[in-house]
Amino acid sequence: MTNACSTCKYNTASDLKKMGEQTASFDYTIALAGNPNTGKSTVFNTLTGLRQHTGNWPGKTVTTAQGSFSFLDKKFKLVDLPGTYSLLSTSEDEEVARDFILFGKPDVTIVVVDASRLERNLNLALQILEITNKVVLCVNLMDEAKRHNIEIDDRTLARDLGIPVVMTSARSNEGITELLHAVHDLAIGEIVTKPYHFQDIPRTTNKAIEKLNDELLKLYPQLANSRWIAMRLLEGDESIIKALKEGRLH
Amino acid sequence: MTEDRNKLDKLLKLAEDLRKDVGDNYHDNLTESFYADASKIVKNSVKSDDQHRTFRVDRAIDNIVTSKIWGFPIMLLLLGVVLWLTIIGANYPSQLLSSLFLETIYPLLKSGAESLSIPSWISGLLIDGVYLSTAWVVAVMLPPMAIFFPLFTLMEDFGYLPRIAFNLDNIFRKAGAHGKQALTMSMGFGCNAAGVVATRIIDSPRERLIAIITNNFSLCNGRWPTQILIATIFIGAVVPTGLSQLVSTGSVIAIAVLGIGFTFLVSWFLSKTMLKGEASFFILELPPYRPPRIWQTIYTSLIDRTLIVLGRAIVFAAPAGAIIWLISNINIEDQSIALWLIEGLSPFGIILGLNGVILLAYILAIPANEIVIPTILCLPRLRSAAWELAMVQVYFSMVRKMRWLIFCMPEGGHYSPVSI
Amino acid sequence: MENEALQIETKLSELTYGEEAEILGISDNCKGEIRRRLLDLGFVRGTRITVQNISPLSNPVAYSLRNTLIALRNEQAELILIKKLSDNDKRL
Repeated sequence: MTNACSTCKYNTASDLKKMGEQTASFDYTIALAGNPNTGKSTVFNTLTGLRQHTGNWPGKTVTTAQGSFSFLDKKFKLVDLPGTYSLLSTSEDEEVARDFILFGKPDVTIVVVDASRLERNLNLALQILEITNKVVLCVNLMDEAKRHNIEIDDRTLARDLGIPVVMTSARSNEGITELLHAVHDLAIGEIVTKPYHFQDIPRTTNKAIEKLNDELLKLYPQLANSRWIAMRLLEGDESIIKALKEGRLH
Repeated sequence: MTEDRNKLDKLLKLAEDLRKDVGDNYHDNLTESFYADASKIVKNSVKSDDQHRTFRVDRAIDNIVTSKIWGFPIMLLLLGVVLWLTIIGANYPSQLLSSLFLETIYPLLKSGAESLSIPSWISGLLIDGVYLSTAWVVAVMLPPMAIFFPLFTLMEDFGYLPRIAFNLDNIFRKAGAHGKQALTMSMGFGCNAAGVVATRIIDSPRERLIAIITNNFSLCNGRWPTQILIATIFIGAVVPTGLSQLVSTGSVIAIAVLGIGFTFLVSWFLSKTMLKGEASFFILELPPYRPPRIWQTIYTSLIDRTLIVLGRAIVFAAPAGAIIWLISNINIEDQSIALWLIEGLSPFGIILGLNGVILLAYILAIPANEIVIPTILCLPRLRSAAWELAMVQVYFSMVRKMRWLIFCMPEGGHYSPVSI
Repeated sequence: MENEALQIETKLSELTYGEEAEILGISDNCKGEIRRRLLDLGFVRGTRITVQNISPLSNPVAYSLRNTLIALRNEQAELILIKKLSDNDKRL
């Protein structure tokens, strides 16, 4: 377990070594997901020491930028996914982001959300929780939220979502050490999450999802995100159907 | 294997049947559920003073920059201020650099080569060719870029670009193009390559193609310094000194606005002819304004943009300098290769409204458009006979201005590029 | 009975500056990619929405919903069904 000192913010990120573009050998792969304009690229730059350009307009991150860092003797590869509002549509960005989380099987996915626009941002976070349970929620832009007099109870949020929640202001390096600890502990298996699965579905839809889910689990008992696959199959998502046929999902 | 496959096919069949049950509103329901859950969770853990909290500063800025009266003037004004600062600010460091490179270092190199008794063709090739053209490029390009890119990046980081898209969208809509093309166009003003890559955010292939084709009309980073240079040398120099910076700024803005006009015109033409189709939807988030971190932006845009562009220019300028020196100094029969080429290219050049010298410079500078102007200025310098002849063929009054510029340069390459 | 008049279903494009509305849904004429986009951005039933900015050339319009500004062309705003809220509703 982490002691008080190691999470104290005065014990700066001295354990963090930014390793720029070296991504040759690493122990864990970390995906960085989030809505556009949440400061995702700033988090990426802070962790890797790279200078991925951080323009303030939607759709700016061109491809999945990669970088690496080491923390507490473990090497991490960090993959910056394109910013998306959702993973339910079929635009190019969303497919890149979705495919990486689904097929790339990152050890941890950091979902960066804008503290002042939590509701909109949780929409994406909840969808990601359906795909993977190794998620850390990074509530970024806390400085801005404070200016808007928004208070967030991170414990309640963490309890409701069943995952680690870290408050950060990546621009001024606040909360980065805590974020690193959460990612590290989740990666090495010291934290076990109990992710929230969304519930508020109309009954007929839910019944259809459950039925398909059962069948999927009969066929592929190992499938971790069967409920989400079931939802996609109901939508007729061609790339998921293809992936199932090619056996890439289990 | 086949058994698994059969089971999977059965599963997919089941999914299809169930799809009919859940109906057309499946996606609607799903999204609604996610949002409903999200707002439930938020209610538990977020407290804000006011349920309808207003982001007053953002709102105030938006009311001004998107207003009917101020929206467009502010756009032009911001562009103008950025260019004006670039032109004014670049003048002095450019002079400083060129006097350092040409008046201090150049003679040292020359005398050093002499004292080591290095053959004159080697010192000519390396010092008069490679060194001079590289020094030229650095002196001319570094200062404007080091000012322009950070300023542009500051505007970008602040969140202004989506507002440009918002203001201009109606024109794009009427041109049958996508509103986000305004974003890729604005990006193109920073860098065409980035602008073309950014067209990825346009989902319709037809509109994306229009955006790609017309991105070329946005002045990109390689061309800003060239435009600013041309404006300073040719346009700024014909008006009284007091007005020159204002007029050169104005002329660069005019070129940029002309480019925007062409973007609309060509987009409209394409969407009515070769790329026919209805304008698709436009949905764009206007992100909150974020105060840019000034020092960080200056640092990263210097490192990431300025030095990369400059490095690229040098990589092409150095060999171009060598080639220019060689073709100017190797004679075939009684005249240099450069003169043969200039004479040969002149007829074509004049058809295009150029002359042989300029056309040759364009050809030599094909790999990097940043170095066209430096090349034009280097070419004739090396052989006055060649360039005298070329100037007789001068076609544009603008180019006549350049002759004046080059006449002002003393023999032997002591010249200061922007000090006119 | 002015409250009743305000309850009538209308289109988002009819919303004017200063009014507040609640989204009822997206028109059935709107299908495919654009429907999904609108939903993803939060144009779902029950969402409160206001007009925030109108572009200098009248179209598009920026709407405020869930603490974000989303700009839509009028053609898209016509596809979104709303009911305007009276002052009474707003307090709820």
